[in-house]
Amino acid sequence: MRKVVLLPALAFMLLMLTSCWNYREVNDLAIVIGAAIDKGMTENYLLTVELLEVGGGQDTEVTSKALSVEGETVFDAVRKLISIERKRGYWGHIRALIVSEEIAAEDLTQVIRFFRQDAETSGDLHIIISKGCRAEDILHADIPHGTDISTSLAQCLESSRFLSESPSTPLFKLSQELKSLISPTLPVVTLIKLKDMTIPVLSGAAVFHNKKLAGYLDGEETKAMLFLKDEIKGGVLVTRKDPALLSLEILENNTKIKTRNDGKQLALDITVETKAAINEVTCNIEFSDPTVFDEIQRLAEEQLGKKLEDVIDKARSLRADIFGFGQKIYENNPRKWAEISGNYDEEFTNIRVNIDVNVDIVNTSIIYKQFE
Amino acid sequence: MVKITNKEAICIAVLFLLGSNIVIGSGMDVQNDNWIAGIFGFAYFVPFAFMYARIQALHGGKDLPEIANHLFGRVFGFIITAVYTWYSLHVGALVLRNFGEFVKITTLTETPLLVIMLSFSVIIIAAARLGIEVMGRLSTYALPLVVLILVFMEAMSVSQMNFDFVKPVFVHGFQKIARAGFSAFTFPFGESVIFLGILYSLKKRESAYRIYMTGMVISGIILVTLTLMNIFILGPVEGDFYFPSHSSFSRIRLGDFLQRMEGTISVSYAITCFIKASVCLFVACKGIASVFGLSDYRFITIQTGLIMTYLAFILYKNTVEMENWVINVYKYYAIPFQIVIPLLIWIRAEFKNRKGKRPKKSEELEINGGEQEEAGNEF
Repeated sequence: MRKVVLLPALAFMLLMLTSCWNYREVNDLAIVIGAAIDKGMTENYLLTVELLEVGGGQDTEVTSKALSVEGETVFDAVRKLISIERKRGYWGHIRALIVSEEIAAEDLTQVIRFFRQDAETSGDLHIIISKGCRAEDILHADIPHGTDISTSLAQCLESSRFLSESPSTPLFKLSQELKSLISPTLPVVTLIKLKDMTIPVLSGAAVFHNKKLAGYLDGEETKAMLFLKDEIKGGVLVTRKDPALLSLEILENNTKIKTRNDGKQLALDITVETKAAINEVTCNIEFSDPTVFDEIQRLAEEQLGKKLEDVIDKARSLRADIFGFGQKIYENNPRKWAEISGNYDEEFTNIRVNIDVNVDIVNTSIIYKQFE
Repeated sequence: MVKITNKEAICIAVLFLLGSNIVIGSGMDVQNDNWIAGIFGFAYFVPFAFMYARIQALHGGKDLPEIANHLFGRVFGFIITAVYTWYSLHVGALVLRNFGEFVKITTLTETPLLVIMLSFSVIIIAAARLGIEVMGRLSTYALPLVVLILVFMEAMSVSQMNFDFVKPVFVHGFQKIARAGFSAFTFPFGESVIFLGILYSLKKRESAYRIYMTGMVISGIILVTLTLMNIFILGPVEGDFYFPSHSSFSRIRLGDFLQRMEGTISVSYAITCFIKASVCLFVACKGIASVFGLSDYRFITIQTGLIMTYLAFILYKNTVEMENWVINVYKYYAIPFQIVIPLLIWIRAEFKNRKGKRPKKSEELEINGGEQEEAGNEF
């Protein structure tokens, strides 16, 4: 008797408890791979999304298209998209969010808060600032490779650790920096003409101060900044040894920032320890001669040190502590921080910084002697 | 009479203390010093753990309603039983709600909350109905799984950690951290007062100390490490999330293939919340049975379970209210249940024990001796 009752009951439960309440068919969803936000004409924001379209048939073909819609808020625009697209957007796979200069100059956080709050979007979303053009133009540009622009931009950023000329700042890291004492830097995208194509290209960094766009760094300056933030994983150090130019490939880097408090003056001791390999020379250089070799190391140290000082000066002129010096002071000396925090913008321009660069050339790749 | 071994009781205790705390985190608001606050909460709890264990040890084989009736007579015993029945029903409902909100927000966004909680309460009711022995045996299997998942996830997320986030240590000052530690005391440690309702089924009455101590140490270590992990991974944004450990484990990236692992952690959420809610329901049913003079608590598990589910449903209007309650209100609400009444019970019990010591002592020793031999054979 018990079994007779139990069996249908269990079978019923099996059907009821499959969580199909939330079932969503893939073909009912418009997969959003990237988005761009500009100031709107009639309403607050103009949202442009890049959607992936999966074609049917034997060879599934993935194509992309860009659509624009205006809304009072970002989420308003996200839902208004349905009136054009006919399907609801699925935002779980979004890779890149491009924000226009105009919005960034006003207040960056007004548009990124939605992406942080929504449960569907992920913290890996790359935030990129469009420079010299509208954000929507980036998504409407020609696709250089692959199926869509957003993925290729995201991949460029992910591989940029071998280039180190764009600061890869996913949403999650950006919100951490916004909540700590670091002025965030975001990668910058611009459009360039290449033959008959207009393609987006990443270069440099946008510097934020108090949530507002304060200025830009170019590729070289970005690299120097990443050295100071200890986020260098690779890249090339071009070193001049007249008349030759040498390319040193960065193999490893380790930057340490120590705070020193001697009397009233606050000082930071920065030690940069880089391991590099000589991968290219533009004319004959005798590596085998130890004095030449030491000379190269010395020159590399000198020139890198100069670049680091230059980028610190630039940041000081923008008043943006993009290196997290303030955060370091707070971490190591919270009392001192409490003293200076009220007037940190001013303090930041006065902190004494001692940079000690140590470039260690570990090899010269596979060549020992050059030809004449 | 059903009996549980020490091992089983410890496993229940650990899962009970982890339950719902690993989901929503304690209501501690000293950011990077939260882990120190956790240690403070742990330290505050030590004397109380001794007190709870002492209450149980003085009344071996008696459950909470019986202790209350024995110490305070029928009327006050009745009141204390009713109060604790309410408390465990309420804690059970809170746990259920926390878990329900978690599932609703992170995965089943369109499923009504009541449906999620009802399906969860089905197994809770089943466990409470089957009794403490089943829960004990289940816990011995479930605890290693929970610990394994947590250790695995923590190991996987090492690459996402930034150890500088914990600095500057102790920046919030002793006073603030000590106050935040009180939150950690009331939730989860102090909630183990509900445990008095099940420890009567121990084989040995002295083991109450061991169970409180071991359970507390194991869960304390797990909770403090988990808080530290959250700080290392989330850093300054740790306090922004409703479900911090879920958010921090969602950061796991190992190559391109191992990511979005946060689903795995839900398994340990489900297990711990299930055990905690079952224990609460069990104690609540026992209490109701005693208040109304029922011979067996089993008849009312389904009804009480449904009441608990509905209570969970009407507790808060929204998630913000839930978080406010956890952070701002609960620590005060818990004071009478976790501190005042147990203190009264303990003092009364000590007096009564001292008064009745002479005639009772020989009797008790005999029983203890017999039981010790029995237990000795087992280990």
